[in-house]
Amino acid sequence: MKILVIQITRPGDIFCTWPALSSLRRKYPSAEIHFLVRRKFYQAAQDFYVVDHFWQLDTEKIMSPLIYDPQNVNGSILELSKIINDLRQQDFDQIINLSFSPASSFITHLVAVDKTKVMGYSRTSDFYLFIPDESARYFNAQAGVSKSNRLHVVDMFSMVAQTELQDADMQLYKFHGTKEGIVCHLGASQTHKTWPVHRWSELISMLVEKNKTITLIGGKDDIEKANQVIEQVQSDKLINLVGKTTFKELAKVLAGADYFIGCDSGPLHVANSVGCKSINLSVGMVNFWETGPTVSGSQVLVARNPENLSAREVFLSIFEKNKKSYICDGKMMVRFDDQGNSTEGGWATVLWIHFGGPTPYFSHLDIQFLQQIEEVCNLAKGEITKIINNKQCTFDLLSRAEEILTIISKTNFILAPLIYYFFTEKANIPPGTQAQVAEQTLQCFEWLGAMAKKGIFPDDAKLLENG
Amino acid sequence: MSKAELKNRLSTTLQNMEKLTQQLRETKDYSQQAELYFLLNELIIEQTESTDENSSYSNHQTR
Repeated sequence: MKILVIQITRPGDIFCTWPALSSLRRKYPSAEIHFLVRRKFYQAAQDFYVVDHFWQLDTEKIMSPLIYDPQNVNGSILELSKIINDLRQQDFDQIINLSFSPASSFITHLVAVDKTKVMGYSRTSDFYLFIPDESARYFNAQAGVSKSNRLHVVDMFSMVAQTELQDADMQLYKFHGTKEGIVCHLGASQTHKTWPVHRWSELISMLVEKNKTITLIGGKDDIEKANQVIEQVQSDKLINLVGKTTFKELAKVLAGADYFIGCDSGPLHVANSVGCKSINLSVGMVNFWETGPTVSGSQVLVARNPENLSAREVFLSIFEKNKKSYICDGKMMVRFDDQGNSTEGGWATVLWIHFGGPTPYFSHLDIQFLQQIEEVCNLAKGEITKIINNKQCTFDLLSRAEEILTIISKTNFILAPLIYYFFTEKANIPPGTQAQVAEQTLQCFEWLGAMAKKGIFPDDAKLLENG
Repeated sequence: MSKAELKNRLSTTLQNMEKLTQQLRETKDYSQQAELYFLLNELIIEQTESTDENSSYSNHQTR
């Protein structure tokens, strides 16, 4: 059996793919596992020993004809078709696309042959998005910043790959030796996800006063920040490895540390892969449930505005449990203690829709919105039925119905997961005649209307127990 | 090459590609060659986005 796994995003996501690959190898011991990554991020994957063959998408080479001559589209198409044709000739039995981007979905569709079983995003014959499996549809609807999902990407990748994770799958590298010192990563891929340099200096000053050895790590983009911290802290307890390590060397450094401190970025996932506990500074627009630490005993400190997270709070997290932090419990389903309310926000709705959870206890305002959703669905169903029966339909009303649903999803985050999933199902309607597409659209509105009704008049015992 | 330079270089191409893919949709050209143009268009969009090859979870055009 030949399996292609696609992960053409950044190093953090590549490291998050490792557990799925490890469990895939256990599921198919004799399969030939191929792995497609970007050439510029290949280094992050090169120690993935369960992979038999690596493929590298060389974006720079593909783009270079266009960079020298903006009209030379065919030059780029020629480069692109080489790797696509080579991949297609492999006749893969399975393609597992763990990238979720439009580009990756086109690659999946182009490389798949008739016999290929596809998991994750692909394209229909008329090039619209096609999501064949429920797990990837879950990802499409519920995952992302500002959404209510609490499954880690590591778990979602494994769900899409249809594998069962075991604890052993979490660790890529196994190093032996004592653990001492703290490793800090000052940067992140985007500015909004970084903690201010002056805060880092404050924290590191406090730590060196406690006689802790601090190792600074990061890429070339972080060199300037590191130099500023070194100048401000002035201590021989500081070791500067910024811009000087490969991923494997970085893993070794992290494996020998008591703690890793850093924002939502690649090194956090390297720390996860060696079982190093983290203090994750979850600042800016990120969702730590999805991309935070996976090692038991790690802590997450959340602040939308990076300035609101003080050095003192981070310092306290190392020496005593910080009451303001989320503590990683290492469980697979949801990896964090949730400060006493496991169903807060839209997560209860997500559990209800996707995981057989009880009907959430909706507030009076939520019920009003649910009634509105039911009315909108009834209106839309009436119009769509006209299309199916070849009668005059007011398409504007259908557009208006979708607009109202979008507004509700932006207004009420408790109910948003319902509407997100409705739109995912709707986006996944395959090509067909107008009547066929109308029939499938009708089913989407019927589902949403029925869920709204169930939310207004719950019939499960659990809710009755809760009163 | 900096991100800004790259974005600048590819901006004209991106405009042309968007026109081309729209044309392909209108003419219902669903060949493999046409799909390569769609893929290239997406790769160029990724290069010109400020986030760079990140997990661009959304932005899928729907039917």
